[in-house]
Amino acid sequence: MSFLMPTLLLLVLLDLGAADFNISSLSGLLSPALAESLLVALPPCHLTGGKASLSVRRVNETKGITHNFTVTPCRGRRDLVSVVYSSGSFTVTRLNAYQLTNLVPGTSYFVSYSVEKGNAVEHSNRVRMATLPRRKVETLGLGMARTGGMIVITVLLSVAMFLLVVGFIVALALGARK
Amino acid sequence: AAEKGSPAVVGLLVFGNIIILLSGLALFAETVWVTADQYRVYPLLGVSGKDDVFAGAWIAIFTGFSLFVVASFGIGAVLCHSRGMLLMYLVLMLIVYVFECASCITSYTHRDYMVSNPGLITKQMLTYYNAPTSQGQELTRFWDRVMIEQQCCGTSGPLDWVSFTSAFRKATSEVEFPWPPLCCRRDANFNPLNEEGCRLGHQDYLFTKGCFEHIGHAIDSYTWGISWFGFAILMWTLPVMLLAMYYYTIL
Repeated sequence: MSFLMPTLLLLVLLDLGAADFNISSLSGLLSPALAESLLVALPPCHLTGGKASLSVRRVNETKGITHNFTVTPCRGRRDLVSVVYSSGSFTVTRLNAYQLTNLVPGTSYFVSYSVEKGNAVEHSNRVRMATLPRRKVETLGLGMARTGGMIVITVLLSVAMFLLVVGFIVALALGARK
Repeated sequence: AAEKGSPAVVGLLVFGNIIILLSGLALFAETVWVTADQYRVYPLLGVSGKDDVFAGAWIAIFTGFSLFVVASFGIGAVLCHSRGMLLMYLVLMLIVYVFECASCITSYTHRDYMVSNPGLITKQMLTYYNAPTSQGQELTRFWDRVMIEQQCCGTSGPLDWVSFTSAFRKATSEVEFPWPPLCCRRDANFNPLNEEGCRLGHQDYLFTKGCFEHIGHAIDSYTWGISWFGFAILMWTLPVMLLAMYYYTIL
């Protein structure tokens, strides 16, 4: 029995560590993480129609929030925003990512999926995503730099004006003596 | 006494004054262009109170034309070998010189405040864009125009609106629209190509370039024309005036 224990332990560890699918990264975006929202890619196409459960929790907390939704169908490649119908006057688009909102700026979150399709349940890996910090505009420093050009112009022109004034006085003095 | 004064000095003074009068006329014409503000960046400078780039331009219009007039008078004074006229020339030139120095220095200093780094313009944009005050309305109109014309967003990029609090953020929450809707790419009919894509930050549907480059280029163009050109004229005028002072003593 004792030799079965390490094998069972290994199997359990493997089960916890292995993810059925990885959350893919989104391309073409300026930034998937904003200050109050995060964009997470949808589960892969083979899980279309399944009941997805996206869990979000802050890094140093144990309890989080779970969002439930149905995985939308794939049509060809899964672009972030796909055009479903386009006429001359309007366009209908579909969003192929999930946007988590009402988050706190400047915090790290753990995000993971759990998708139930038919009888099987597939889990994704746990991804760490951080929202951008939001600073107060008053803290933005003006940082005015004194450039070299300004120093050169000021110094040289001050010297020139001084020379001219001195020269004028000397010329007046020498001229008056005649 | 009328024949005193070496012809070499007279020739040099006439030549020097011809250059000054031509440069003065060019400065006058060029600073009229600056005052016309074809890039229309004045609201940005006016709201911050650092609009002496334009004050420098106005002074340089006056000094440019004065240089033209006084240098012509100087040529006359030198050729007439008249001490009285030469003294008058020296006094007038000195006054114009001091004004032109002031124009160069203040114009460059205020340019440094505005565009030596994006901080001031970013802070002003975040404070005043969509603010309900009259300055806010003026700046909102300015930024809307620049963002459409130059196809840019924010000072360093759309993330300016996300990374800082602002008057815009107070009015519009991040979920509603993270950045002003004018940052979206639009078609010929001015409709956004894809509003959802723009809201999420898809690079095909949003302007990701910052406007600071354009604004910096505009203000720099004005400043180089006032400051460095004025400085060059003054550096030439200095030896001409010193020579005129020497000529006054030997006349």
